[in-house]
Amino acid sequence: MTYIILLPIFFPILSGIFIRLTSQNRLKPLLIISVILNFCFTIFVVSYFPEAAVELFEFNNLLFFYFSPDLLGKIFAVLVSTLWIFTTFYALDYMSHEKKTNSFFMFFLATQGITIGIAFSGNLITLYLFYELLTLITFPLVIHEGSDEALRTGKKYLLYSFFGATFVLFGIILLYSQNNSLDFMSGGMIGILSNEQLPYYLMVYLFLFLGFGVKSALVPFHSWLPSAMIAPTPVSALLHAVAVVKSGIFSLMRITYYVIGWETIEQTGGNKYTLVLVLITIIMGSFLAISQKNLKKRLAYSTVSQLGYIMIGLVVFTPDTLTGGLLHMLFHAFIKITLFFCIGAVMHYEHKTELAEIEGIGKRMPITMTCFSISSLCLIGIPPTNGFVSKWFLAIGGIKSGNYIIPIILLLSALFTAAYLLPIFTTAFFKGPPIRETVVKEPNNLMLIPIIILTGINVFIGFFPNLVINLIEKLSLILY
Amino acid sequence: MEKWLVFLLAFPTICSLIAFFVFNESNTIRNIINTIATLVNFVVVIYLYPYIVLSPIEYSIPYVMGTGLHLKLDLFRYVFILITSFVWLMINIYSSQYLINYNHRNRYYLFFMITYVSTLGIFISENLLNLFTFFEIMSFASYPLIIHDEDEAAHEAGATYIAMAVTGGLVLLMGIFMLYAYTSSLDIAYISEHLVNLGPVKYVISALMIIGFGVKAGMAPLHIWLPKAHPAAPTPASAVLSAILVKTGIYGIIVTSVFIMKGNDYISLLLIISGFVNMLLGGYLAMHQTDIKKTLAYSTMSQLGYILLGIGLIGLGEQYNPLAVIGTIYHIFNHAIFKSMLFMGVGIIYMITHKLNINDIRGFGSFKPILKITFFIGFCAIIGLPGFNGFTGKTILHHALTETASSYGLFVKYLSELLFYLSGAMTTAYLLKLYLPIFVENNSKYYASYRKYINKRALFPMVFTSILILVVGVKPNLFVEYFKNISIIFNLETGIFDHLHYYSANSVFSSFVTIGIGIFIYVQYILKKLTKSEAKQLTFVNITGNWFSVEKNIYLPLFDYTYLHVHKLFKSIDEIVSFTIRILSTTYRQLSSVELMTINSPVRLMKFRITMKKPDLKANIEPLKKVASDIKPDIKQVSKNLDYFSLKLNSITYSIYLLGAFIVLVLLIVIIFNS
Repeated sequence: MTYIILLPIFFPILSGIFIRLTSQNRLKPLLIISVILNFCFTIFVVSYFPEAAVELFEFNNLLFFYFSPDLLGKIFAVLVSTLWIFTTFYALDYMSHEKKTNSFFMFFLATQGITIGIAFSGNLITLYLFYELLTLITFPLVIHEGSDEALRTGKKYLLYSFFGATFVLFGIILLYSQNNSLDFMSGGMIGILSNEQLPYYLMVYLFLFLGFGVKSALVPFHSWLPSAMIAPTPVSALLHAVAVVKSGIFSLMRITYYVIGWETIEQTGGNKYTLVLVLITIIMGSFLAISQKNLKKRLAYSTVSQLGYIMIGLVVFTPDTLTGGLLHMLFHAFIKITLFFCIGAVMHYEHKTELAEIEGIGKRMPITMTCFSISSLCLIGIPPTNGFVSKWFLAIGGIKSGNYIIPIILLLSALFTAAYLLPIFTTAFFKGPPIRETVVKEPNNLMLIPIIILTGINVFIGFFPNLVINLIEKLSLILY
Repeated sequence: MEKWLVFLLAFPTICSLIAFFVFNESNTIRNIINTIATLVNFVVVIYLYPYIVLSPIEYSIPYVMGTGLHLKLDLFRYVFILITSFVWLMINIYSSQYLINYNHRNRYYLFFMITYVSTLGIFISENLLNLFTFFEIMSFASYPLIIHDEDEAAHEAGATYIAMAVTGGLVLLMGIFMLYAYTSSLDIAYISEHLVNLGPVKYVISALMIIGFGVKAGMAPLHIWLPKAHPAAPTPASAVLSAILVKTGIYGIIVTSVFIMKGNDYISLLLIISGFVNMLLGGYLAMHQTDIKKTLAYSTMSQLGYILLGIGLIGLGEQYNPLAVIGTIYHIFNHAIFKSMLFMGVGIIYMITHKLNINDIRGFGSFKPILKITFFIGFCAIIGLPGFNGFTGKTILHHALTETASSYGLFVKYLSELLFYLSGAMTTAYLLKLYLPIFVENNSKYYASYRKYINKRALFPMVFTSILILVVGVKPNLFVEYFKNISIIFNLETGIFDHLHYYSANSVFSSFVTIGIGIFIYVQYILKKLTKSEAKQLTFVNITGNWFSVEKNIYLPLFDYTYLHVHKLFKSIDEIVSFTIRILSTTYRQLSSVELMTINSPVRLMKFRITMKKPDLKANIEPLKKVASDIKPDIKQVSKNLDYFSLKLNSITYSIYLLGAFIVLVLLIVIIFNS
């Protein structure tokens, strides 16, 4: 019976294959039914299987595939399956003129299964398996366009991912050789170290962190992310908001709080090194975004910096920063996906990709660009939006732990965030011909409604963040 | 009763949203709805007064925006609420006439009303985080008002404004972060209790907060957005900007300096100095402007200096200075009234002529009695002529200054007196520069009647405001009850209010002295140095064009320099990995393109022989060379060899290479960590 928890993982993969085999005409209903069903499965599993665990098979002590969704995994899984619904609707409109949609949607659905697999995995090796699968399964999505540039980008993506995965594998081997277990345990499984062990575990930590850091776009391993913008917008939205980068973050959370344990890491002092990288990531991503002329690239660099925000929760060990990091993981997903959807709508309907070209777009697509503006304000972290809430926790945690640099970097980065996002909507709304001379032409409802709902969620959570905060604080209390 | 506070915020929001979404086709209905919203709010504010005198009203809604919404209206905040609701009502009536020929009016009204609500919100929130929230909403909502014209000047001003506003907001936020981290409390009333025991960090906190609020309050050198934003915005927007929005900064500074820091001496001294700088710098720059809106913008900066001075005086010393409290509040009130009126007057001129330069509109107002009289009243008010409202505030501030300064020795006393007189004189001078050319000179160009352009909706607010100026000026004791009550908040002795004489011979005399110096400056400096004769007429020139400007000479170069270098740095980090890969691949390519020639290659031998020959046989060499070029050299490129290799290698073995490189790397790391 507990095998049901595998349903959200394998159902999308199977239905993806099924969709590949059916005709083009039935694509739309099948796709919609499939994502909604999978959402229901996820919710079902999350609410009715609090302590379930499934051992898929055990090859030996190391190769032991084991699933046990805990609170963190459940939150991530719900996030994934929620956003997948929106993206599916959006993608149906966006991809309507593209070729090879069937195979596109096969990989698209399969990615969801794999991501939920990451969320539900109960030990590090299972996580690693799905992590590698994720790279492979998203590769066809990235190179969907088929152009030379897309292929080159795909190569870069693969190279970076496998490079990171090699690090991870090495870290896992080092870890396993000392512990004989890779199961997730809140608080970690290593415990207090003796002085001789410190360098060894420092090495393990750094290898694992840098390895998973590749997918979380940690500087200097971030440059695959801006390049991967060549993918169709729904894919880049997903890559950025949930699937790939958040899997990286999620894996980092697993190793920091469930495998090595934060006390151990603090003892080795490894978080000092990673904190420097994280801070550079934050400030660099947002700074470089300012100079990008291409809108999607701007958002890509923005993601690099925002992921840094989340990673603060993983390198500064206070309950506040962890709460802030987790909150930002959720909020950033919602905000970033909305921003990408809006930019994608402009690209799809107006064929404009550069900042200079979008003068007056706000007057032609008022609803889309209003949603974009609101979500931009969320990302900058202007109260009362959700982005502010997470930043608040991060900054307070930073000050309480004595790292004054954290709030300063956060605010500086918020300033840069304003500098790269405000011009987009001021250009869109306050330049170009006056409203009287423009014709309003909003995107198709399939595209518009997800955008509106997502913006609504952002605003609502901004006004009533306690619903989420309570849940997340429960989680960070478990870990501390 | 408490629910009225929410009503104050919610009602205009709902009305403006209805007006924006439902009645966006009909200008009349939309304007009526918005005006009614502000009118109702104004009435509610008046209605609340008797209750607030009894006790402050507090209301909180838990769970909203994380910390909950905590509103409080006491007597001190009441004056801000009152001017806000009054000025907005007036400007709303005025806008309906002013904006008739503008595009995007729906958008304008929506943001105008959002700015209104958020300004009210700033003044009545008790929780600092709520205050900050409304502060940020206000900053962003006023941006579309400033760039409303969408031309280049407006966008430039808007960019400066938003950059300053966002930066200021973030600095303020840093202060709030630290405040919360140290005191774990956000309610203004409770923070000070925790803060007193804090060491030097409280100065950092309050400095951050004052800088953050100071941007809005036009504190020099953070004032640069003020003179840019005012001329660019449509007049109703500049009026509220100048009359109310800057007061949010002032309010924040009062909260920081008086309520949170309990009138700390260092902070107060800093505010006094900054007040003087603002007064003098603003006044001095205002004298040199030829754009009338810019003059008024710098004038605002100068008047804010008076208020900052007042705030500083409140806190200096052991106890709060009652005179300074009254003077500050009075001046906040008065400035809002007369500055909005002056802007409305300027707006009417602009509405008809579409010009803002003094030289272009000389003699415009000579034959327009209502405009002339109202403007004259505003003029008298701002220079502090006895009988008008400006006088009361300035006189009391003057008293407070003299009282405080005399306890610091003669030098300080005379210096502060001198500076106070000087800035008052400059106020007179720059307003004479506006008033005389525009309303007294004769210009045949503007004889025509413009009655058809202007109707009651534009003139009514002006007339009403001028009457208010007169009433307050003639009966300054109107507020004495209010001040008696407010002294409870500040813990003042109430005795002083019973024998407070505004119109003592002394103060009337000093007011006339100030005005006299002002006239002197106008005649001797402005008319002589700042003009040139052109076609038998004096033309005002703006000589400040090449002057040192904080923005052009410090902020922008500094910004450019930092941006450039940081960009270089980050760009190099950004490309560090791809750079390494590129280096590796170039090295690889260069290595593989090395040509290897065997020793016995025919070409080599031939070349060798040719060089061995004597130069006189040059003629014979040419055919030999031809032969040499025909002979295929026996050259092998390394790349050929490599290609041969790579034919044999497939992608799997490729990864072995990677693995090998990786193992080397790992070994290095292991060695490093074990050593």
